[in-house]
Amino acid sequence: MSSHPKVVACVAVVLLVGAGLALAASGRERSLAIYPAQNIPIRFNHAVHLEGGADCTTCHDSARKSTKAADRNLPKHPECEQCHDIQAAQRGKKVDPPATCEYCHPGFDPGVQRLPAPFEFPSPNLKFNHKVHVDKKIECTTCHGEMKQVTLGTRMQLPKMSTCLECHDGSTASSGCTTCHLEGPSGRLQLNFASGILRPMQANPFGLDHGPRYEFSHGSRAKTDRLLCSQCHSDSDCQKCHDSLQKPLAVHPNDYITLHPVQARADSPRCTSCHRLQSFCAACHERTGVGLDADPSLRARNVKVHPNYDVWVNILGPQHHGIAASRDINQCISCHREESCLPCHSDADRFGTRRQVNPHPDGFASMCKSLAAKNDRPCLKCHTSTTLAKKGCL
Amino acid sequence: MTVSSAVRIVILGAVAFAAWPTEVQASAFVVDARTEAQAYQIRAYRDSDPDHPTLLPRRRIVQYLGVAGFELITGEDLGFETSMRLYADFGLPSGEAAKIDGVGSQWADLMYAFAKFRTGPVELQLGRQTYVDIMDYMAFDGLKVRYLSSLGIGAEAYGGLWVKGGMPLGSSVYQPDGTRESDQRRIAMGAPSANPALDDVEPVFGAKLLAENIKGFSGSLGYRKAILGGKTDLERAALELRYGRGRGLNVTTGADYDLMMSRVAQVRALVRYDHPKFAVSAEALRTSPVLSAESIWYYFATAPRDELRLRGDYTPVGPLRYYLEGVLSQYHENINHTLELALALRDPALPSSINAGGSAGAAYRDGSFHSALDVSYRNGYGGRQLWVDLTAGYSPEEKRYTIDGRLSIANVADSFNPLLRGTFYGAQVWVSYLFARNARGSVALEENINDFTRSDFKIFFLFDLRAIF
Repeated sequence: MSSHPKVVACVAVVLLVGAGLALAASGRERSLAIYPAQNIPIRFNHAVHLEGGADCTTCHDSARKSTKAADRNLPKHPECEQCHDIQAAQRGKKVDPPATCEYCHPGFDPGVQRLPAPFEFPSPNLKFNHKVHVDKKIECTTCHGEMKQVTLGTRMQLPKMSTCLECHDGSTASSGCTTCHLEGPSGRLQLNFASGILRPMQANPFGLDHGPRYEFSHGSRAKTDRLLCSQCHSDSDCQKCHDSLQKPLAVHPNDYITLHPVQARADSPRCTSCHRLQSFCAACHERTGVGLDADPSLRARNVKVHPNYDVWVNILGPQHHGIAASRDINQCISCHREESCLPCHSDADRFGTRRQVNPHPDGFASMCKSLAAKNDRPCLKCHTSTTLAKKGCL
Repeated sequence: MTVSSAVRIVILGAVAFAAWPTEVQASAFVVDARTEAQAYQIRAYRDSDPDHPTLLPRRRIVQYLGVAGFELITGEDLGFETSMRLYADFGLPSGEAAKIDGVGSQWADLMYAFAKFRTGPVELQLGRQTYVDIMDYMAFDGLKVRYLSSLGIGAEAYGGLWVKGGMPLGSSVYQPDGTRESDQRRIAMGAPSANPALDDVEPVFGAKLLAENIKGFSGSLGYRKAILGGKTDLERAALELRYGRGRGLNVTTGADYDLMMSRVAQVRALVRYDHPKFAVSAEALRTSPVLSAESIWYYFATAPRDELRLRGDYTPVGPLRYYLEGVLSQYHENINHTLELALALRDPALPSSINAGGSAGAAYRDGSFHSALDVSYRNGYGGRQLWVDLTAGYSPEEKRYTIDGRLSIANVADSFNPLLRGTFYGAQVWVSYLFARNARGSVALEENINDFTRSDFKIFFLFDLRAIF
């Protein structure tokens, strides 16, 4: 390795570790698309109120009849005044518990400002009916967690999907995505919100976390769990990469046209998940003069990518193309057409070939008859009916 | 007609007219349009020495038009979805496309166009549609019917004509590989191995038994057959199994069996465990090329490729998350033992077909800013490759623009092409502007510097339009 990559690797490791140490202790873990950011400029302590004998309904009684996620269900002055004598405090009287404006609204000076700083409390982008859950005797703490240690309630006290799915398992309650999530006209989930894009995040209960490099790891899941994927994605979402024409910048790094052979050799199945070898790959290789079987009137071949002819074809050694082809025929197909193989691998009667090298695997002779019965056209590209019959394949 | 019956008709007509707007309002139509223009040059060493590359101009424009309608009858899950693709390559020299199979200077593809109806446990889909499962990613013109009972047991059957490149408005994207899309050009040239059947329609049909979320278990057992020119082109069976019950363990497995060759074609197994602070996964794959039985290569002695991926994600509370992944892959060999070449497999000089490596990275997202750093290294079969990618994006709230960038450095040593080695630097800037609520335009600029191509510059234009009414 030259010195450049070593330096880059060291810098990368230092950046990763340094960034982790610096920032790992802050932040949020609820989806902004579901629970938009809030600004709650108030001093409040749930723990103190619960210790003082209040229960949830003392302040949030409206939740028992709430049927929409947009309902606020937050206490206003009348609820506070059950204990906080705001009017007495406004007259300058000392009260316990304290009830001055700035006690609950820090920084608010009624002599200077008309109103305290407003709440920013956007509605969650969900369907939710508190009443149904209350009627089923579901405790508040089941969804909002134990509040005895909590000071100010925030988005962090709103339930995550894994909590919902403890009951919404398909038998106790519906597990359909649109039971809770908003859907678009197509019936699929709405993914774009002003507050963000809904995207499965870490600890997703279905194991669907669309984390870093998900473009390269979603294959097994997408192939076997189509119904779940289709709850959010239409065919066009898949085609944005898999139609083999658009250049997905997240998938192919810069200058990929130059660099793709290195990755294609190590990982050809990944290429074929979007590109048809005999269309996309071979055609471009022929156009650029890499492919062997291009129309000779078009242009001469250019760069030769194989070892010298003897090593590649004549010497039956470890560098022989037969071994490379048995390992990864995709590589061959991405440049060659069938005619490349026929001169050496077809039988003499068919093409007057020189070598007649058998390209078939062990045991092929025993199955050739049944294969030819199902489809003999490819057999007849290399053999004649007569030679096939002689081999017992017809 | 009496007056009273005429009055009755008028009243009924008025009632129907009054009711009509309500029904129209229930329907929704979506139009999606996307235009992507690319302008750059591919360097090719055709008819030249490596120090004097010839440039192939690429001036492409791709347009996608999607039209969809939903709830066409009020209260009924009846709709349609379509997507059409128009393509033109203005950089292709005149007459060149006619000489290369698979290349076109302009074409139109109907990617999908189907009507969908769902009532209770039954779902029908009619028209051009894609179909994905462990066996393949395919497209056919036909009918798919699915029944899934409330108990989670069901069945699915589908049938139609496989969508191929030779069909009118057809695309070869999902056509079985291993042959040209069409041999018409070679037939006209009198090529002896040309296959006229490639242009025939290809009936494909299949069925699956389904189980969906029965105590956390889901799965399917399926069969598929495709027939071309009266002969079998593909015949496979597949088993898929999944397990998952909420956060924690999720298991996904599947096997694809080639009934023509009587061999396992693909196997996939993915086990993933999710915890609020981390996730670990292990994935094992055995893959073989999905080739048409029309291709001679389908009958060649080829071997599958195995791959093992182990990954850990660490997701602390905060804007940062990390991952570490290890990859091990191996291409196997399959040489007929009667050939002298089989002895070469025991030659100590046989190059290893193992490739090993891994990736590590971190992603940062906080407010309007996001960034990610990925470092990947692979070594072994195919060559050595080190990739470092740094991406970042800024999407300010309530602003009309977004900016994204990508810096990449690749240090590679290709095992086949001695020219393809060295360090490659690339930079990309992508600026998007929201002209209106549903119209976005983007420009992407790319500059690459390396010893192989010296320097090249690419430019991409994109325009997205989406209307819902």
